[in-house]
Amino acid sequence: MARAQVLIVEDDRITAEDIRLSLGSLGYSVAAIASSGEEAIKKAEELRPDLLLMDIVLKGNMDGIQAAEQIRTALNVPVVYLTAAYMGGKTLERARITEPFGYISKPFEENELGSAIELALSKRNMEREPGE
Amino acid sequence: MHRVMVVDDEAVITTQLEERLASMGYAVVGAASSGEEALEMAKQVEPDIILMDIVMPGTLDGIDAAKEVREKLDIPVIFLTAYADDRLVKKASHVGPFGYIVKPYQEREIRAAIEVAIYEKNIDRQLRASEEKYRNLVNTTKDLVFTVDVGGNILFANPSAKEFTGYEPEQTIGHNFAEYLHPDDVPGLLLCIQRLLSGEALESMKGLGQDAEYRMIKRDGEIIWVLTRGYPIRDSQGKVVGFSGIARDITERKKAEERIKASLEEKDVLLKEIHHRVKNNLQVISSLLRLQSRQIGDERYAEMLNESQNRVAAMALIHEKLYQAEDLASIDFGGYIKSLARGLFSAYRAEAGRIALRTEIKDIRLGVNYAMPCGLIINELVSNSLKHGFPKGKKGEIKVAMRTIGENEVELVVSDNGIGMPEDLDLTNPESLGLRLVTMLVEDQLGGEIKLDRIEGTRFEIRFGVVE
Repeated sequence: MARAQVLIVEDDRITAEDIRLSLGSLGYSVAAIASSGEEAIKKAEELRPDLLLMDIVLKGNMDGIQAAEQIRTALNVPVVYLTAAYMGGKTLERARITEPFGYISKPFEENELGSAIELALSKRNMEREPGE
Repeated sequence: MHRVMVVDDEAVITTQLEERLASMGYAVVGAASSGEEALEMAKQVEPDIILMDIVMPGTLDGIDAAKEVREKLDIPVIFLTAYADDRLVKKASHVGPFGYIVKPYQEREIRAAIEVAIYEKNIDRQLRASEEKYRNLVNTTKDLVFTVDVGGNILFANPSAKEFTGYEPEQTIGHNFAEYLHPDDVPGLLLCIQRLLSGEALESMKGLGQDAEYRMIKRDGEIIWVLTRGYPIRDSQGKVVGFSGIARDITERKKAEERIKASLEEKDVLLKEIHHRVKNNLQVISSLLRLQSRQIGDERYAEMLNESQNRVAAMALIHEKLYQAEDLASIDFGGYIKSLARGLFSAYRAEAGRIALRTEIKDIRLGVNYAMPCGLIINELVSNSLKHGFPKGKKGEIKVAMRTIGENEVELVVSDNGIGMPEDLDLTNPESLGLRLVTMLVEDQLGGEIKLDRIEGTRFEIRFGVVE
């Protein structure tokens, strides 16, 4: 099986670079890095990644949850949130609607990132298998 | 001694009466023989009571004179009458006499009439004074005082009604109270009245009445908030015939409450925003350290940067727990330690099942000044155990326990049943940065003490005081 393609959505460039290298050493491919929700939607349509690794608070008019919702509806790409935002109250309610395959809290630890992505991908494969 | 004045046109009778009264212990302060004279004299001598003949010659008979005395001087009058003439007595009763004495006088009769009259007069004065006191209160208070019938129609409103409705109090009479209320608040008020009527509210409030907060709309459309305490008015059979209420304008208080609420919410949003930004910045620091460590070929140096990353993570976790906390100021340390340990176990790739983590933390909340150093201490000690305590796949357990001792002391114990610390380790002068950080944080930052026990594996016992 080809290496899974991950779309990173992160508006902090240094953090994004760290994630890119971490994903590489964990054995995944990075489809692209997007720094806004709008850009994420465009890149997702273009590159059809296997997974979104999505920050919630982003620059631009759209936050990560809105972007994830649109991409999930249009392309059925699963999302794992990687965020410093407090996952509680309204944010958690909103995020739940997008049926995320995982949450990782910032600052992230590389092995935790690895297990969260592994879990998300296997969940996705299990959901897709019956149709294939 | 009561001061008595007598009025009779027959001198014989007045003289006789004067003597009688004196012997009975009353002071006779004057005797007049006509209505006009009686008025003049009463003005000057101000008696406690006047005994007055009903039938007298002159322009003022006894009844007219009594009326004048009563209205102008407020002195009680007892009528003296030779015969109980029904027509006269009926006429006399219009001026509200305090008694009659029928000639010929009986001493007992005179005494009883005088004592009853003076007693009643006193009661009457007290009642009038009290009425006046309450009337003044009702007329001068800034609160709205009102009475309505069971249908809510206004029967009485004090002068403050103008401030509450924009209408003169007289203009509101006969109107329904609901006309002056914010329509949204009418159902709630009706409910309140129902509870008043059911008596259940009265029971619980010991008859004080029922409080209700609602909005009123003034003639010019201005909306004011009022707090009303209402109570039912009952007739002699106990049936509720209406309600009285006192309403206070609490608009300013309501506005202040709103402002405080808004500013507290704003403060919370701001604090959350700050914690979020701190965490984001710590992520950047963590990323910078990892990017650097990737550039380093030597495992030992890369490891140092990884340890630094764990320290940053321990600090970030404090902020995460802080903004999950209700008060945004103190954290539940049990939850923190579990998250912290999970991160460390993952970072050191400690396989589940080989090294177990046990925590014993009973409901301890710490403010950020204590939480941050404690977090870093636990980070170092647990890292040490994971790194050195269980070499070559050795199995075992790491335990973190925290408890309060007495009012304001905290004990933190981090222990493992691993291979133990090297014999030559000197806690007062440790070589490793991790242990140096621990002693610095315990002794200098927290002003506490640290003890190392190597009987079974490694056991660090830390105690420090907490000042609120």
